[in-house]
Amino acid sequence: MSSVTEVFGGVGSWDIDLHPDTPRAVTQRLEMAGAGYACVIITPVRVDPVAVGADNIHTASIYAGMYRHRTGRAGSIGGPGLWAYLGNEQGVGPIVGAGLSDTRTYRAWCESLDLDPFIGTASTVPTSPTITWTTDRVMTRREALEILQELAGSHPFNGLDLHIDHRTMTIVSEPPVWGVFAPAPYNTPVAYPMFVPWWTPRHPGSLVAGQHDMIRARFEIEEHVEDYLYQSIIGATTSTNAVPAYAYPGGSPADVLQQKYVQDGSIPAGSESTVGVAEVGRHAAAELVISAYTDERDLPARVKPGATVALYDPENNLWDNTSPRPAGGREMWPTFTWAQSTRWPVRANMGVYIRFDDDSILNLSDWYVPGTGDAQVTFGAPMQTRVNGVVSQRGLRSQL
Amino acid sequence: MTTTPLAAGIRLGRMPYGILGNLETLEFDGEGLSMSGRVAPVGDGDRVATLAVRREQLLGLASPWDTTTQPIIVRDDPSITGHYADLSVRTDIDHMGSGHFRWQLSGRRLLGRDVPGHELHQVGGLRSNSHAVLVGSVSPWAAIPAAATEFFSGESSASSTFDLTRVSDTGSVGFYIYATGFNRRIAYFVCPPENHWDGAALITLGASLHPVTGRQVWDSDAATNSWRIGNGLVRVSQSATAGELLVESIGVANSTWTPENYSLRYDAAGSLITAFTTFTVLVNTPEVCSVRVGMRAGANRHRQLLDITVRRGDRLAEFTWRTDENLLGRVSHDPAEAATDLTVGAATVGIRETAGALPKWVIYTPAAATTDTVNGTIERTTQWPSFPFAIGMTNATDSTDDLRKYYLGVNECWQSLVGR
Repeated sequence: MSSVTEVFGGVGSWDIDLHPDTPRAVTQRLEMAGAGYACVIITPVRVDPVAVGADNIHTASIYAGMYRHRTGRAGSIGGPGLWAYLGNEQGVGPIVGAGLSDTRTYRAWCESLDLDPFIGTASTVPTSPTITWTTDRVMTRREALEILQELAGSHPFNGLDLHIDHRTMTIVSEPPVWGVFAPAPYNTPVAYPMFVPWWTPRHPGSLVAGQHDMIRARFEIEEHVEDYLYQSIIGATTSTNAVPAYAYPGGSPADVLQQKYVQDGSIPAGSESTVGVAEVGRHAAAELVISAYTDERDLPARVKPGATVALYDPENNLWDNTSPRPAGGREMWPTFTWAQSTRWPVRANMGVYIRFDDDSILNLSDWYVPGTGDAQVTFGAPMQTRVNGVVSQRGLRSQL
Repeated sequence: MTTTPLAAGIRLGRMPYGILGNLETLEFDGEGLSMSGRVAPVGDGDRVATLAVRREQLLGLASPWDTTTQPIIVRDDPSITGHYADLSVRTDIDHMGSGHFRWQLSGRRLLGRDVPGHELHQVGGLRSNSHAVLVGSVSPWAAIPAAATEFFSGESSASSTFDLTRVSDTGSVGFYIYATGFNRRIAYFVCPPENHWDGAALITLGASLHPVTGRQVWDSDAATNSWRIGNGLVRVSQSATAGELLVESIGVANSTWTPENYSLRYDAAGSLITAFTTFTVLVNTPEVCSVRVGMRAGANRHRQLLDITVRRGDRLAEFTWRTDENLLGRVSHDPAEAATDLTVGAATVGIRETAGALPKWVIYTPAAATTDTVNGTIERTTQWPSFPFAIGMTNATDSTDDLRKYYLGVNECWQSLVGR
């Protein structure tokens, strides 16, 4: 089944299954001896590559990826997403030279690292914070970018995480949203896609500024508390959390305290309490995995990993009534989070093209086996604020 | 002695008594039930049209969208009466030309016979408003049939009496106000099937105003077709003047409807909405019904939508009027009539009828509004693509302040039934 997986901060993957009837003239061009360096471009509808031209197809695309493997004559072809351009899992990619040792702004670092191998450096990259970084190691640009983002404290909510806009092949600070299926908001584009239960009535998303474009979905929720922590102990310092409850029930509660001894020589003297409080705080809420399944055809155009989204499903505890959002003649109270990954079928009547390094285009739109079924989105940690004043952070530990 | 056949005494979901005809077969299989019958014959005239409506009503019972359970009442044989889940419906329509058709319905019987538990899920919050009204000064409420027993509000067991009982023309409704603000909560009650629809939100359609089941309508023409959305306390339809709203309300101590007409205007020139175009259902549950009515002004085809929402137990019908440009909007009582501003703090939240005795008509809006108290008009101060407002009547029990507090918070309710 032809499908694409996009992952926040990762390369993801794409797979296109070819129809057995694919002409030899087509499959021969896919042989690595000739195709070597190429990328796949997927558009939401078919376009004529001759009339439109390679650059314009790229501009109209909802996805682009690196062509890297194939099986059989007319079997499947695939590869990773665009981040692999900057360095793949084998350490292959454009290399950043050694001897980096400086204090520069975030944007200046991006510029000097030449992170954008395609067209300059995006001016949307924030200038702050200022980062001091010393390394004498040679690495790929992607590795350098990861270290840089870590030093900057990047998070999908603070605009410091960087994305590749597959349409213009530039580095951007907001994930790209394709403009044809996404209704243009009337005023300023403040409307984030809102995931709602499948039975929610639709409403025309373009009608009012600030209204959310609704994506009807089936939610799947998974919660874990195996690492609930009551106290963390660092040396002689014990940090205690009030939430969750004191201990598991049964017997004498004091006997089953959930304590954790944190052994880390790098914790500076005097910081034990700070680190300890952070440790219990991280483990005070359930680990929450939220997925949504939707048959919306244009999901990959509207939601890219790292994008801010709204979720509203009270029966699954996804709500936050501090911010009403009018939708479909009713009020809704979504909680805000961000998309962590998407996996979507390459549906019938989408356009699939291979762009070779000489900018010629091979049109596979007639010869791929369309994917079917729902697109899946997984979400990162929502920030939750409730009317009763309790603020809690929920989500995958790795994303907090 | 004459015996009443099972004929007139069947009520499936929202379908009233007297139209489903004879119940002919009945089959139980574990928790499953299937029944079949033949609708009451329809005379000549609009025979096929009427039968088509009944067919659509039956098919709508199996709609998966809003309610997966339906009460089935067999008046003369209460042993069958109960709530049924996961319904599927079959109609044999080959005899429609001769005035009737056979129907067959099967489903799963909920444990608890006719009184399984009702869970009323709620989530809500402050309605976004320009009046600086905060969450502490609104009144979250929920309404259930007053005939319900074993009520648990979801917040405490100590105060489980209704704050109000409102007598609608489809039965009494218990009105409960939450003292602890908004939250996600689950209330519980038990209610006989006969009272399941007491004061329920209801969408009706066609010249004879047949209840709509599910989300499909058999006629989506809002101009020539009669349509109405209401809850037995307030109801909205189109007035005799095309493009005007007719909002009727029931006073506190009588069951007569007081009709009031309202016209809608938009843009700088004050263009008048002159016709309704389409009618579709957004939500159809006993707790809340929403419909979307398309509108136009003269030959202008520009997209104008009016979403109308009516909640069980509410004295106000809620409207959200939307279009694609900064054009909206103005609501005027028709004919022009003197009105008095309703304020909270320094903000104007609505207007009410000035003269005469209670009940008096009221219009509220959460948007910043300007009023014309000579003519009974309220409009959005800054024209905008959306204009939310609510229309109803205040009376001796429900003051204008009360209605404002009920309107500026929204407590969304939806019900699910659980076997015992």
